[in-house]
Amino acid sequence: MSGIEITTPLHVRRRLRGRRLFEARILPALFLLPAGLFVFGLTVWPVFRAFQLSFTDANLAMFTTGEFNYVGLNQYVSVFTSTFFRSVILRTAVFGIACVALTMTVGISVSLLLNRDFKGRTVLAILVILPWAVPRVAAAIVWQWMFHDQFGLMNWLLYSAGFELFRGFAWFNQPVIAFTAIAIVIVWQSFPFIAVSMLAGLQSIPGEIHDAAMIDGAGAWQRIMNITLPMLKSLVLVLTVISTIWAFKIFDQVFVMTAGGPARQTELLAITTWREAFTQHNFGRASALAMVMFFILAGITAVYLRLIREEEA
Amino acid sequence: MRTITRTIVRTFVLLLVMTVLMAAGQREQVSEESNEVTVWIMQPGSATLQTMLERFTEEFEAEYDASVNLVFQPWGTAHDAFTTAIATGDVPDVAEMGTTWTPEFGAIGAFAPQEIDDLSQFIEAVLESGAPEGIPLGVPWYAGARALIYNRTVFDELGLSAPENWEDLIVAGQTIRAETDMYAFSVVGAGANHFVLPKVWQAGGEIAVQQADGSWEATINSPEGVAAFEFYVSMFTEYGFAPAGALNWTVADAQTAFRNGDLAMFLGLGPNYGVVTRDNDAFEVGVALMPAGPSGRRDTFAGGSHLVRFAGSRNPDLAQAYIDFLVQDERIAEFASEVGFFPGTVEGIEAMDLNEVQTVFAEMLLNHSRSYPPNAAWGRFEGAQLFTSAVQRMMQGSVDAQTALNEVAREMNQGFAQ
Repeated sequence: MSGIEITTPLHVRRRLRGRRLFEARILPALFLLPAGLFVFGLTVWPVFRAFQLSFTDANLAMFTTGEFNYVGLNQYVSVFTSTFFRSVILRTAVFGIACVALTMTVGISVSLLLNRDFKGRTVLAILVILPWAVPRVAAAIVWQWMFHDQFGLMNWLLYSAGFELFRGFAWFNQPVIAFTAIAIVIVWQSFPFIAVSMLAGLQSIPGEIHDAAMIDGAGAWQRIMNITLPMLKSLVLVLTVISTIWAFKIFDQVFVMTAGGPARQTELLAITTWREAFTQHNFGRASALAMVMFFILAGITAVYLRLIREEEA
Repeated sequence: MRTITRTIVRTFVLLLVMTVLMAAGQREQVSEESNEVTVWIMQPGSATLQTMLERFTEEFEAEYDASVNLVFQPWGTAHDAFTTAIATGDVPDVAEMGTTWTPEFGAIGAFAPQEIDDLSQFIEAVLESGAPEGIPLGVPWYAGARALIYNRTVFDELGLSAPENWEDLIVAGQTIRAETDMYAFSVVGAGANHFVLPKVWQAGGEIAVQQADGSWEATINSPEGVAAFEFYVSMFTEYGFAPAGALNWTVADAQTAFRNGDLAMFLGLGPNYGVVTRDNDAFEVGVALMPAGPSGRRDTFAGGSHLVRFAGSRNPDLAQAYIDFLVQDERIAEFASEVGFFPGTVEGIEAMDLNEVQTVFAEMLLNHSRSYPPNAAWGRFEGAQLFTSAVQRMMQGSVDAQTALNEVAREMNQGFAQ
């Protein structure tokens, strides 16, 4: 190799060095550029733009002129000093946490069931996945009809079962009951992903460990709590992070089933953000709300990632 | 290997250059195309209407040697679509616009003013809603006003006649509740706007009044406004004319309940009448003028739509020609009668051969219809669910009418001041 360098003329060596640099550094970058531009355009730029707009009082007219007034932290101040916006953030957090807890509980339970060997397991597994495959808006429309006070299937079933209360029962008149109905739909649609993911994790645990534990006298509950879940802690954490992000971004189901009503009492952060932007044309405040959600989710994700790293360490 | 690498790089660079050139050329192509317009029309409820609009468009294309990109926008997402189009500057040339949206988008200069020689030809309320500063921004296309739609079979069996006023409405409703299993009246919560706000007029009040300097001031919390909201909600809370779930009902739910024979009366437009009578042999349906309030007025909201030309149209002359083409008498009459509405002109309605039912709807439109304050803030009030939230909270029993309407008036005045 060194012999070639000695005998090769200087200009040829420079050209070879340039080609090596091109092939090692520039060419990969060029190949990555289209994908990079795509990712930048669809994720980084919108977040940056929303962040920028959150410091303005941008309205629809300003978009036509391209001139925005910068108002510092005013939009964030208005978000955190408004009783309504604070209640929306709190409501989103409480409802989101409840949905995550329910989704994880149901998902893990179903995965444990599917991990057992019984007749009809394949059919059950297919049935479990089905809700996940249904488009969210379509599912919400069907469930809204099922919860309808006059001709809903749910009231008919419950009334037929002897519950007199459910004759014409209005599921969406009070926020707590409305959220219960919405939570049923959300959990119904989101638990299959958790169940399937957990099932894959469960099947990666060697059977010998369970066998050894059984010989030592461990019961089913003890095996789940002391073997299964600790061994799948990283997976559970990742799934919890994903579920949390989904839960905080919930829009479709709530929008279809209640549109945030009655009297905006079931409105969550995503719907409030949409309403501020598209019905009030207050893009500055909508961007501030979007950034609040972004920072909350970024914070939750950071905590979980740290927990995962500690676990791996 | 070197050859392959060189080929890949050359191909990539070529593609990149082509993409840039195509992007640049596309904009040039659009601006150079002089005989093409994009038109957004609200998604019609039936295939017949869609076919009719497509036929009108084909006729226009043939007459003007033009190309029309006709896009049907669903009503539910149209407001978002317009907002996005205006924000990005990628607007259509012509659009159908809900009457309460015309002032909202018009206030930021989205639409070109319409030069109309004879303003008196149009129905005043529909024209007024499209002229926030007195300058028409939209041409009234079709219009309609609500009337009382009732189950005539049940009314006949009970010896009732259509209620003439609020007192009659209560008496009829109580009789229906006492004598049948039906609910009496559509006291809807989620879709309350067009049901409760006209009651303020019927009670002798105003929702808002325009001052001498052109500004608006909310008067919805006046004694008449309070009486109107109290009357409306009392039919739910006191008289039980609607089921508990009506707190979240829209007019679509009321329409379904009426058609199923579970509800005796609801307030609807011509298209609603069409839906509840189509293939319905179970009972006869009657239509009556809106029951008058304590002031003796039967006022209702004039619904419908305008055709607007966007200020950013790349082909304004052709866009205007398309609007003029659509609102010609024969087309507007054909379209309006099919959709269950009326033409936006007085002459257009008078030229129609109206049946008994259409006569009632026409009288509501011509003699008892009004527009909401044609102010840019109105769309924001509706978007914030200002009025429906007040009604729903009252239906929940969590607030009294005066308190709720004082809050509404305060929000309205803040909106008007912006």
